[in-house]
Amino acid sequence: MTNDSQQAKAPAFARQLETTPRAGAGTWAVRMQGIGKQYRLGAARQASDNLREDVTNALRSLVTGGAGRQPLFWALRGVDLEVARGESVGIIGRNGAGKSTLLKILSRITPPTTGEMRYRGRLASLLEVGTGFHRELTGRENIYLNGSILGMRRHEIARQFDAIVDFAGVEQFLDTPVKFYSSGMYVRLAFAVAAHLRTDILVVDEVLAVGDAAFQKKCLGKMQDAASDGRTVLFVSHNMAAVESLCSKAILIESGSITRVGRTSEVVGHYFSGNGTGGFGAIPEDIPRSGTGQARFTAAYLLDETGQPVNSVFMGDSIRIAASFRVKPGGLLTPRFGVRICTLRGICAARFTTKETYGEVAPIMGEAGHFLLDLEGLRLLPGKYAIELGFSEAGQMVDFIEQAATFEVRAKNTNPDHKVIDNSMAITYAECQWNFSGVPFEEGSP
Amino acid sequence: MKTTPDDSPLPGDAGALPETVISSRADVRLLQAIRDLWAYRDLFAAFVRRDLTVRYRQTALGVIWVVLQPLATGGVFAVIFRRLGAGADQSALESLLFYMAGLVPWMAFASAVQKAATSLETNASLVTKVYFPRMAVPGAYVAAGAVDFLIAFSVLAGLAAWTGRFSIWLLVAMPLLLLLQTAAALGLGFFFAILNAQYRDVKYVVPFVLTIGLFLTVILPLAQWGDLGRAILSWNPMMAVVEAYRAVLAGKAVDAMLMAKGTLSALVALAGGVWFFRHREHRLVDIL
Repeated sequence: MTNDSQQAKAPAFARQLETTPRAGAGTWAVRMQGIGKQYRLGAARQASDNLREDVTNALRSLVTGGAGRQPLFWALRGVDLEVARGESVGIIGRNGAGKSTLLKILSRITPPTTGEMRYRGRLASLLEVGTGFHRELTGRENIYLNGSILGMRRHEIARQFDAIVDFAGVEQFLDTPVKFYSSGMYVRLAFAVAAHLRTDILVVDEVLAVGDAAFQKKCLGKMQDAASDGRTVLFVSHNMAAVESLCSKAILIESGSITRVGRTSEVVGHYFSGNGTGGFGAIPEDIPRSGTGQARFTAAYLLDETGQPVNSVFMGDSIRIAASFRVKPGGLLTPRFGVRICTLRGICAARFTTKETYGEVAPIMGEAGHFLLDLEGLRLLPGKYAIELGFSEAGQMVDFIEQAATFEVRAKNTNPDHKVIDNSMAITYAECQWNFSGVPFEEGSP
Repeated sequence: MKTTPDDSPLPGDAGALPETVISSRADVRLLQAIRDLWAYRDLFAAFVRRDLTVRYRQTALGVIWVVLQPLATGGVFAVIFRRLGAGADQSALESLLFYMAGLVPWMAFASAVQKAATSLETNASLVTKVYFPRMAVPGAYVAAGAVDFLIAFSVLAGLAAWTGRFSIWLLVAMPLLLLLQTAAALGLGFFFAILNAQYRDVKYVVPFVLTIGLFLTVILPLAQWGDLGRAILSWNPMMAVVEAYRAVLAGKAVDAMLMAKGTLSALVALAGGVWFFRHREHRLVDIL
């Protein structure tokens, strides 16, 4: 909602909305009240030493559908939300904050544990394109099947059929099984069906983050059409740029509740600022993180050549990252580490893992440890960057922190004739030189 | 989908848009589920079409398989059991008809149950990505199985005509027996499908159970079982179906008590399957 205060918390916001209807769209399209979702942490199942007890437990869990007594946790709790008709709302938050759970509830894939959600009109969710495509079926058959899965009536698909085929450009292959399609044709056809979905409410996942740039653009364009048509769009994404360009309003989810609702730019700004990680140093225990917790990162540093911690580097400088961690008894037998450097808008510039660039890390049996990672020749453009730390063992994430620390790359002009841009347009640079000529380029010419 | 009238109004006239309620409350969920079953009828039809289309694509014999399987199995049974002395008083063709009367419904039933049992697993990517009434998945396989049955049944009817055993009662009884068979297949299909989503052992158990069922149901007429066997097997809905076909083909009266028991147990199986499915379906996304 355009005029709401950026500080408004969700429930207050919801009340406010009801009394300040927007011109032309006075009613809500989606309304959630007290929505919560509880999951059981289903990791280690305790075996009892009593066979009979095991059997009765198994029988009981067969009937009740629950398993044993694993701890419960709330992935979402007390979510109140109201979205007016014709609005496009971005839902943002870090991994594990409850975004995908909310998405699953919105798209009806999983029911809430508490509360109630109502929506008006037809709701369709696009969690991926081409859901339900069958390899053996022809393009024509798949259009009907996929359309039905997305909630279109058969006659609606028939009416849109030519437009879908046109959009995908697959006329000649309509009666060929899609297993013979090129992957490009396949994706085009899948997207064409989704794009012609006529629905009142559209729930979209980050599907748009996959595919090439042209494809993304097409997707965003179609979604924008939907929004300007007066349809309601709920867009769950990591891609802040997409959220900002598409959504007038955004919702921030943190630890399972809505912590902020308001204009997209304000909510996105809050998301970036409120990370609790200014610069480098000790990593707070309660930072948003995921993983089993067998080990935890405790601190991260950026070091200069003399080994002193710093907060910033100049463009082109080599970078040394140090990260300390603490390990619980039992140690880690096959640890793997990963580091990513991303912009604060979530675009990653580089990724380093021990699996790919080091090899097997020796088992860690002590209580703590650290690693040093030296990076040469990473040419980052000026701006703020975040360091993402990950730690896994035997394919399971032990600890993962999306923004363990942030640092700044400062501008330094190595060539006075060049203009330095910041990392909002691009992330990396190279020494460059342009040459022009008045004749067309031909192979073999210098 | 949903309860929207065919040409759903675009957003703009709000009042006209039907409201959907998703709640943690079981009674609200049940109501919505019933509404959804109707609203998603096109999707159900699309699933049935998909199954029918895909099944015999890229097979040389195609739909002939539906006929070939009971015919070949029935032929083998007739040869073996006549050698063992069973039905020696009949002609070979009549023996074949006897076994076909059991195999045609049984094989359709068994293949429906088998396909339904693994259906949620094979459609996991759908179930975890899009909402629709989950019962549509196993349900569609059972419905497609009914189509196969009708094709196989026409061969059975042809064979009956050839041996002079055809009567109009065969055509009268068939829809009712198909209903009974479908109810039983749905019940078992729902049950196994949801169980297999969590315990993949189920898909190894089901064919085994169905093979045993084949021997128990098809080979001997009920009358040749002992008292205990008869008492147990008379509660097998497929036994009722098979016995009814055989009675009609032999020109005898159908055992009303057997039909009543079979119908009752088929309905219990269906109700139990639906209950069990609904009770556990909300967890599907997390276990598939």
